[in-house]
Amino acid sequence: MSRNGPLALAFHALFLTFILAPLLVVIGVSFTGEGYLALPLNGLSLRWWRAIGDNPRFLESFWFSLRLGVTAATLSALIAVPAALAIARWRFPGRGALVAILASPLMIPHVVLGVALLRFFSGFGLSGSFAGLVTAHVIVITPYMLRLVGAGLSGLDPRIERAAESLGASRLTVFRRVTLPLIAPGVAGGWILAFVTSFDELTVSLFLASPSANPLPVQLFNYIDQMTDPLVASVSAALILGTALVLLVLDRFYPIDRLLTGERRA
Amino acid sequence: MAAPHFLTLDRIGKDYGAFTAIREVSFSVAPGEFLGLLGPSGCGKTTTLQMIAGFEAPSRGRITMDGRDLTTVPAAKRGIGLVFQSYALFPHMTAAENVAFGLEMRRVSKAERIKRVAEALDLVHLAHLADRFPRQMSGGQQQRVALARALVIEPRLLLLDEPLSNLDAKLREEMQVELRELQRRIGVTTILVTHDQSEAMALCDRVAIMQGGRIVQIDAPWRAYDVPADDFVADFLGRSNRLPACAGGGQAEAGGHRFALPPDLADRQGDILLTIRPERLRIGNDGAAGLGGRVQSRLFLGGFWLYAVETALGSFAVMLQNTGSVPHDEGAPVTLDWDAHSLRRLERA
Repeated sequence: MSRNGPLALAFHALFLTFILAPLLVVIGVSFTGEGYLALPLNGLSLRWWRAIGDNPRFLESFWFSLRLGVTAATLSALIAVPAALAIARWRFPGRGALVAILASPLMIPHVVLGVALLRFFSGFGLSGSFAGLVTAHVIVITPYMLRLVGAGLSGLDPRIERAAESLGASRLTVFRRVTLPLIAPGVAGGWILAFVTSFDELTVSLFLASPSANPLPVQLFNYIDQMTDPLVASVSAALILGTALVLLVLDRFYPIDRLLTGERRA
Repeated sequence: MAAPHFLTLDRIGKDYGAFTAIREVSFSVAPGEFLGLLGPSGCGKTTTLQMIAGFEAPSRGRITMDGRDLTTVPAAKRGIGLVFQSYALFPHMTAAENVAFGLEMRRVSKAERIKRVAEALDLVHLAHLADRFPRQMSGGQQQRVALARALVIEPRLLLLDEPLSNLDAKLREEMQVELRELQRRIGVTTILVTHDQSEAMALCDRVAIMQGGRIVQIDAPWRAYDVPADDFVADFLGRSNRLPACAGGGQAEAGGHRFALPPDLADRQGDILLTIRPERLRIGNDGAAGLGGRVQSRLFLGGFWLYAVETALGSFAVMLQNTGSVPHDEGAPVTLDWDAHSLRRLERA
């Protein structure tokens, strides 16, 4: 690996500062004892951390977002893996159209998507339901999923699959025993990225949420809309720390930089 | 009774849209034969191999193996062993698991599987690396695993796609000897695809030289080398020198030198294009009978000297065995001489 020059070091330092500083501020503010967002702190207090427990709607929304993210990311994987395989392996009529359709949510502003889906889902009675939100999230996150699965596939020599076939394996067996194990890191990376994107999604969800289907970002957004107490800071800090913990544990078993580039273990 | 022809390609053609990759290819392979498909890249040799393996369907013609039409038989059911240039090992399986894969697909019992995997790895001298993953092995070792994996299923036909091209020169030579020996011992019918003429000539019983989607010549390597069908084959299989001459009365004249023509060309009259291989030329000292010239350069190759001799008819490559005699100096005037039977007439394409 090459060493960084002074300019690159300065750049990385600034980059990290701008990424990390807001997170540190949020975590800091969450330990205030005052009734308002204050920094610097006048002594540490767990008042607003305890307040999370007194507001069950945040916990409910957290579990709802978790279910939403897991369901949407899993459904998205079920769509993206066969799609990526078809796109990578075959030249068929409508291939270009399929690529464009699956990637289009990246190019459409989420506000537009939100309004359109609200109008569309109302016709089916899907608006404000779990199923509606899942559908919307699958649409939003599938482009990411497709990219990472595709990256994993492009690193896979099709001759490896042909070798398996010549040894007597059916197409399904080739997929199960050879293709899937080899693209698993890409699929896992795509799943994580898709889950995080879903968990974090606000714009589209705002249009489709209802009191009975209220993801955490929407809950937080609505809460800030009405009042600004440090409860949002402690909820955010809990999310930040929780995510960091999950990533740390994950990284021990599966290096994340490789997951996100879809590389196989070297 | 064994069929005289084990594998037959009958007027095979392949189009990709408007592009014709294979115009018309026909050949037969005898049981146990080692056939080479030889040609420059883009000549259609790999496409031909893919059609035999079952990964591409021919647009025209028929492929039969053991008297059975292969057209509708999927790749997985053909019982053909395949070895690729890129090895194409399963990276997530050990050497032993790679070799066992084909046996698992054939539902061979576990005890039998373990025995046959061990035998196959032994055959390629890799028994001690059974538990290594491909990434922990050298290129040569990976290629041996690929070979064991293809052979363990006792294939009816072995297809080798540039199998040694990724190996360095010394290892390649070792593997050539080993491959030839192994093929003889097992007796498996084998087709080798390669662009390396020396590899094809060293390994194969017959070579089919391909150009532009058709076979130009199919013959034993030494015959194709000695009696090339045309200009292309003469150039592709080793080096050759061109000797434009004027024929008449069983003799020919070139650059002021008169020489005899071989019997098959004795009745030729007028302009004629002859070729001669570098190792068939002799260099004589200045004043001897022959085509006059001057030593332009010389390279010492250990067992051989490779000279370039400049003459009135252009530069001639001459390969002389190193017999221990004093070499000719660069710049020295010399003459070139040859036996009449070493001359070939080139068919003009």
